[in-house]
Amino acid sequence: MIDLARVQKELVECSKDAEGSGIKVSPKNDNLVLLIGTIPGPVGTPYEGGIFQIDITLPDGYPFEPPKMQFKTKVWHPNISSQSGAICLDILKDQWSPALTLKTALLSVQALLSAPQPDDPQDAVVAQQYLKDYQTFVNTARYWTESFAKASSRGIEDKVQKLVEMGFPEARVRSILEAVGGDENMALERLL
Amino acid sequence: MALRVIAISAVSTVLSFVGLQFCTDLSLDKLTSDGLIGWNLIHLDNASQDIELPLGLYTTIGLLVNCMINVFILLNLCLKAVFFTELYASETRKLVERFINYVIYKGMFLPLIVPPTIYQAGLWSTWLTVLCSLKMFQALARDRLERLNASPSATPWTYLRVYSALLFVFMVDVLWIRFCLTIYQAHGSSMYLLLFFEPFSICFETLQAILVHGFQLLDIWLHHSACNSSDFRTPKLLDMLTAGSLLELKGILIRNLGFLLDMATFFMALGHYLYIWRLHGMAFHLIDALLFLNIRALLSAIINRIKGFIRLRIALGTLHAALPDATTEELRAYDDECAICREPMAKAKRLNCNHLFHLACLRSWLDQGLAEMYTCPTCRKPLFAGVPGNETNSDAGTISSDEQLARQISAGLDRPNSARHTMPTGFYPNQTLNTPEGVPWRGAGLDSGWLHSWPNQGVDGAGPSTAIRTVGLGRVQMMMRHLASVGETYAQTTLEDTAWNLWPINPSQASASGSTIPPPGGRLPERTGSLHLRTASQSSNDNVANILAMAETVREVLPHIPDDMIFQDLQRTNSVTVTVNNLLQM
Repeated sequence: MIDLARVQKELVECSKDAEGSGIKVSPKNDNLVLLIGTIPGPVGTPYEGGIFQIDITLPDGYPFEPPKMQFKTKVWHPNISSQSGAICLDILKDQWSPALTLKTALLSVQALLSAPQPDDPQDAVVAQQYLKDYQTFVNTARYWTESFAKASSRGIEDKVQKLVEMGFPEARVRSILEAVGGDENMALERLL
Repeated sequence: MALRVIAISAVSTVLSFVGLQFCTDLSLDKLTSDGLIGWNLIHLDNASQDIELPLGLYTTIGLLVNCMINVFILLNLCLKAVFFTELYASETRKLVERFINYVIYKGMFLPLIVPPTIYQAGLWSTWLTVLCSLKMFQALARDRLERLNASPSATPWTYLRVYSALLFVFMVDVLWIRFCLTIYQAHGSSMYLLLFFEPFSICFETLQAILVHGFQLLDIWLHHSACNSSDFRTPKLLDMLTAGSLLELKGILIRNLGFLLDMATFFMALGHYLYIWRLHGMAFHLIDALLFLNIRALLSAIINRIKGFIRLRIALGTLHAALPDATTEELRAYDDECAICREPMAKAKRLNCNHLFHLACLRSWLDQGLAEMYTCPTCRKPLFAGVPGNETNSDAGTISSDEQLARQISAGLDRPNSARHTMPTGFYPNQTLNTPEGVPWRGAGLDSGWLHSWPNQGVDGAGPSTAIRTVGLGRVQMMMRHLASVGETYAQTTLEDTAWNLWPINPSQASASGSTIPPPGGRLPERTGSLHLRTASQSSNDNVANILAMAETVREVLPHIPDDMIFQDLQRTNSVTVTVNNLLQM
């Protein structure tokens, strides 16, 4: 059974430091089993400027089992599947420890964006390109970031403006949009 | 919608009451008029009165029963609105499942022993109806409290309101036990002893829920109080120690008292069936086979619960003996929470690397066995590591002791798997029929081998519900994990609910009911959404693949042109020939 008290504390801890690190975790719907994490792309990488969303599912054995994480935003990376968003990261598999938290796990994913490991790939096509034609890899990764991660962010800003013009308070609009994963219609239903 | 249902029920109640009143007045008027006519024709009037009296009596009784049923339904609906406001779709579906299971398996065996008179039928029907309502309210309250516990937006007031439903069920159950005692004393027959088993079972089960969720309510209230008040350094340490002690007390109470209440619940439920068996005697019919299967399922649940509790006690005792306790000075110097559960520590175990954890948290981590070697959660230093060979003999003794401890823990963890492998499979009805008559405990002893076969059989007959899917996982691992957590005693309750669902009348009905169960309301939109996402991702991916292929072709023709220029032009033109021409013209 999930240790729900610990999960609540982790959410509070993440929200305290959200401004500094840019890492956020919020519940999807009104339960603590399905969460959405948000990480900014690291500076100095092709992913810079992008906002990447990660689906988080807490198994029944959490915190003694690792959380299941999967990129919701499409990303071009050797260790992240460009099709499904599956992440190849040791602390999310056999190297998990109950002392780690959702925040440390997201920090590790962010570090993975900075330092790809093509020798242990999740996506063979991307890894091959990374090894043989690094410049094309960088351009493709930047292109994907521009197309999916930044467009998602820009879309969210537009949606926030639109909903604020309807008369809803901005803070509430942002929190609800984040909770529903950027779906404007669902956010509108929640606001009404 | 709930208000509409309540309104309909209220109108129905009023109509039934008016009907009852009208019928009573009509009977009275008829009696008076017959009396008046009787002065003239004595014999004829007597005959007509004798004919009409039974008919009027039956009509009045029928209307009275109808009125009482309506009042009861209205009362249930009002209480549901007060405690739960609005039921979720999943809660409604689960409620209907539980209702059907309860009525079938509690009501099926009553005709075996109850004399077929109107009074007896009314008495036992009322008994079953009241207990069924109490059971349903209790299950609803538990489900809702667990949902609120998993919800980040739950408030203490919301939790308290649903928690009050448990207290209400407990009080009504106690009153009902006293009423049954009155009936038993009035009649004095041994059959009426059967009235007590099920109310006591519900009583103990509700007490257990009150215990577990009482601590949850206290946690939520303390959490909200802590959020409102400001923090000070000096009181924080005292608060940490106090909270740690409270946490220890909570764990001990939930483990031990929860176990006792679970055992009491099981034994009362078992006593209910055994007493029916004793009153009815052993006659080899289908109904007796079902009765025996229920008894066997309960015995299996009891044995599993006892085994789990003993295993937990042994594991905790072993760890407690192996690792040193942290002293108060060490705790104060550490000045941190348990890294696993993020709660304050009043007692802790110290590892070789000087990291401190709760005993229960550490045991859960060691039970997990994700890694091949047991490691510290914080620094991954191996536990029970071998010290270099240049130490003294006492250290050598410590090494051997640690190795023995590690081996013992591994053996303890491996034993359930081997036990499960040796479980016999299949169920032998003939041997059941050959069970000796009149001595149930001896029959239970002879059938102990079959008790272990029940989980496998249950898995074979599993349906689509989530509780049954839980059974499909590694049961021993699930058992250990559940026993370790705060709500450990609810695993058995879930198992009991699963046991009920695993008792279909026959396999074809089980498969039919499985196919007819509708999917949850939330699943269809999710599927549509995922399908849409997949389609979009496929089209986007094809587009990117095309651009990459075309870029490769352009690069073969013009190797000296930079890649970013190639990509930019391809995005605009989406054609190899046009891009090559454009780049050549530059």
